[in-house]
Amino acid sequence: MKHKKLLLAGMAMMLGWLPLRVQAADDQEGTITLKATVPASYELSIPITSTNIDYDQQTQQIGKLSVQGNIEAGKTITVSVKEKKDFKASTNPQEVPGIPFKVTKAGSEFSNEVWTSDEIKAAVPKEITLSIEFEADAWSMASSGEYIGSVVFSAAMN
Amino acid sequence: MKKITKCMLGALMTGAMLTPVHAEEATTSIQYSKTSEYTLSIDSSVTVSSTTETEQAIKVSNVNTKSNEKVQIAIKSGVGSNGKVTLTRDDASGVTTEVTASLDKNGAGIGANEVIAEFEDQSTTATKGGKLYYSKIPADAAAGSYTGTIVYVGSVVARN
Repeated sequence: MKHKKLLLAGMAMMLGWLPLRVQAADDQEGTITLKATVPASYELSIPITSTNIDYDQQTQQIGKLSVQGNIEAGKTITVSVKEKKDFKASTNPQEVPGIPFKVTKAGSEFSNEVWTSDEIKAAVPKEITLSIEFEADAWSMASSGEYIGSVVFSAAMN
Repeated sequence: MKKITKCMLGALMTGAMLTPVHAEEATTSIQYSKTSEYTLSIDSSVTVSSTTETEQAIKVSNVNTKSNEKVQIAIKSGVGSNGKVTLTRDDASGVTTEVTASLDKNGAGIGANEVIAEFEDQSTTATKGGKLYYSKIPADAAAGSYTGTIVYVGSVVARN
């Protein structure tokens, strides 16, 4: 019988509530622990999705990249260029060679940028300005026509 | 000689028959006193949501009180003004957030030493309170895991 009571008390503790049998005049204290988890969330603002590039411009700004949101202290968000597709003629992309380019930040090729939790939550967000840069003779060697290229960014929390 | 003996026996018997008999009553008092008792059944841990209000039952079992007593469960510490309970982020950064504890759904915050439940006789149905509601975590709370503590005290008190 005693073992059964002990077993029941043990099971009750495992289930998360505290059985306290109290006789009169015995005040009994207990504790409730409140737990909460606020999930991380963030938004990645990428440069404008469609912009016209002047045909003879070697370098062209495409806009600002920023991350805003709410992540745990010590975590970071890394944004990188996942994929870029060379500018190709929209009418016959298979026949006309594409115009290669690279994504740059302040004159250097952009590979990735890291945002800290404080930078992400700051009232004034951290932004970086990105450009695309063509080879010097890229346009002159290109056939006339309308070209379309794309850049795909990816963001990951670490 | 025989006559004398008979006379003496007769006198004795007569004397015995004339002895007065007294009727007596006695009362045995049987007393039983059972103290009020109860068993608290309150979850020791509650997960507060960041999207919806959270409800917690304040329960007892095996409750048995005297007719002039009741079981009362009240907040002892951990609740500030207007029912605010502070939760601290677990990463030791000192970042905190708050939820509001109330006795009613979407109700006003409880007091720092509010009675949150009362039970009488052998009923496990609260005559007052019996549930705590915790508001959702504020939308502007920094991401992370938080913990807070409320201390309550259960006691047997006189009924009003």
